[in-house]
Parts: sequence; structure tokens; C-alpha cells
Amino acid sequence: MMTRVFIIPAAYRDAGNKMATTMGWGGDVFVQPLSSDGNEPITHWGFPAVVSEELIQTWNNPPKKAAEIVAATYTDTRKGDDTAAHWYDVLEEKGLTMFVAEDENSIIANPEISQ
Amino acid sequence: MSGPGVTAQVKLQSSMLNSFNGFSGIGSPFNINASVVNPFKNLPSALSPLITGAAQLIIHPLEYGSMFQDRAGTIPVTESGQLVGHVLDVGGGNFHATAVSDAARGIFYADTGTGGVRIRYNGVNTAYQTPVLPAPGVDKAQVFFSMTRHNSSFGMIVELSPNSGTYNGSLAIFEGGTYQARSRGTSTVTAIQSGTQSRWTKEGITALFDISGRLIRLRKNGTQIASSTESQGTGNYNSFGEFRLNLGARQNGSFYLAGDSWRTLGPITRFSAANATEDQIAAAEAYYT
Repeated sequence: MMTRVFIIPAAYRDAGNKMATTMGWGGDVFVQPLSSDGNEPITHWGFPAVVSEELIQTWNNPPKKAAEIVAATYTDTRKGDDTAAHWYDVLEEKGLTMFVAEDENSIIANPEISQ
Repeated sequence: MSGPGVTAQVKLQSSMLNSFNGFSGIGSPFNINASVVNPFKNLPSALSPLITGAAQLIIHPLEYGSMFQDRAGTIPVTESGQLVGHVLDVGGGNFHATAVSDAARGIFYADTGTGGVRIRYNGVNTAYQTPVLPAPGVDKAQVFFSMTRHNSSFGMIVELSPNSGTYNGSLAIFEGGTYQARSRGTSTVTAIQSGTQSRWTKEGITALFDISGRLIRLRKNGTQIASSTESQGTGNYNSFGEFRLNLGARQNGSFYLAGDSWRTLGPITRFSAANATEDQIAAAEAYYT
């Protein structure tokens, strides 16, 4: 088994998600917002995934329309199945932190009753 | 037609008919006819007590035959270490769960030592959804699961609706430091476990919700750890039949859960007109022990 981490500059996120849908991934894949300190502005989006050799080949040989998106995306591949460990290793290497929104609808902001 | 097999089928269907007044998940199948398929044929027998009085029952067991590697549900999971894209619902309503993308699929593990089965949510992008559920027409719910939590980042275990803090007729269980059980008729109430939550420890969690009864109870390994009697407002869960069950993350792609869910993809979720009996709660909790 192999895992791959994909990180894309924020400006390419929508295009990256559309490309992934075209490739058959089924939904938005660039779901984790990132920045250097975990605060806004978000500079990158990323995700980890278990990947096959076939998928890697498809990604590495994109159609002309997708070439710019692929070129803009940082990827790192390793053997194993621990997508979380791989993800956090890459974030540390790249100096990126996950962003957590705290808006009025967030879990943290809502009133809480405890016993 | 005669014989013990046919008689047994007729008796099973009669008891199902009595149990399903008001059941809205599967139309009106209860003709006393040997050709009618039992919608609970794959329900683990230990969980059959949950059928009685259920308006809607959603269960996604991590069992070979119920799990598929692809989201379309065509390639079965056959061994430990495979990705899980789709899991069948055996609660009678066919509310099958699907990973939100290929990248969002968790990995199934069958532990050779204990024989326990689990799915790993990576805390980054693992997430599943059911189809939109029909309105169950009731204001009580019970949620049961077994979880090993990996970290204290806020992780959504299950949420009915895109946001349980703002959508009427919602509920949720999440954990970020300690477990929290939230319910909203027209007002949001959250019962929060006090103290600290263990990491990398397998625990059985039960949440019991009652909107009109103004009650939320949260249990860990059979012992109550939090409760609330604050008003949740009025109304039923998923009143307009608009909500999915979101497993492992909020619907908008946030609060990703880091943990292992044991025996089922996500929680057993039961909607009912009456609160679950102690025997029913005991049966569900025993399933996760």
C-alpha cells in the first residue's frame, strides 16, 4: 500500500477539486485548509490518500488541460497505510499548519450545558 | 403452502408488522406473503431488540458482505487493511453509507489478537454520509458506538444535518477534550462530559435524546457521564426529511474525527416515538463490549 499527500496553492483549489472529480475521485478532495501559522489567510489546501500505482501514473501523465494544476501541486509518496502520520510529517517539512475556523456556527462557540 | 419453514416466515412477518406502526423507512411491505423479503435479514441478531418501537434504525456493521472498497459498492472488502468506500445499512431502511470521495475512505482492520474489527478515521479527511433520510416523525433518538479516540482535536462522530447548532431537528455527538452530546428541536442543548477523556482506549458510548422530554443523557461503558434537562425547544428530528447522517466529519468538511470506530462504521442511530427500554439499551451496549 502507498500513501500520497497532495498540497495545492489556495488559488488552484477549485480547479484541483474539479480535476479530481474528472479523474473519478467523487467529491472535493482538497479539504484541509493550511497556512504557515494556522491562521488566516489560508495559503494552501491539501489532503492525504491511499493511492495505487495506476493513480500515480494517471496523475503524473495529465491531459494538457490539467498540466498546470498538476505542476502546481506538491506531492509526496511513501509506502505504508498511515495517512495521518504521512500528512503531519509533510506539514512539518513544509512549514504548514492546519487552520481551524471558529465562527459563530462552530462547535466551540455554541452554548454548552454540562453536568 | 404448508410446512414449518412457511409457518416461521409468516410468524416473523406478523411480529414485524406489530413492531412497525409508523415506520417510514420502507413504505408498506407487510403483506403476509412468503415472498416478502425480510428487511432485517442481515441485522446482527444481538441487535434485534432495537427493532421494536423503532421509527428508523440505521446500522452499518463492519462485516464481510456489508463492506465494499469502492464507493459504488461493487468490490467487496475481503480482508484487513483494505479501504472502505461503502457500507450497507442493515437497519431496514437501506440508508447505506458512502465515503464522500475516494480520498475520504478509511481503512478496515481486523485485529487477529482480539478478533475486534474497526475502521480508522484519520482526523484529516476520512468521512462518510448516508443518503438524505426520510423524516422519522419522532422526537426521540438513541446513539450507540464504540470508539478509540486518538487526539483531543474536535472530531465529529455523527451529526444529523449540516450543523446541529443551527438546523432545527438535529443531533450530534462529538469529542474534543471530552465527549459532547447535542440535540436541537428549536433550541440547541449540549451535554458535556466533565473531566478528561482517555486517548487510545476503547470505550462504549451511548447517547439518549428526548426533545419533548427535555433530556439528554450520555453514558460511557454503561455509566452516565453527562446529562441535561434544559429545553431543546420543540419538533421532531429531521422534520422535513432533509438531513443526512454525517459520519466522521461535519457535512461542510470540517471537524474530522481521529479515531477507530469498532464493529460499525459509525454509531447505531435509532429514532423512536418512545424512549428505548433498559433492555434495548443493554442489548446495544453489549454489542460493543
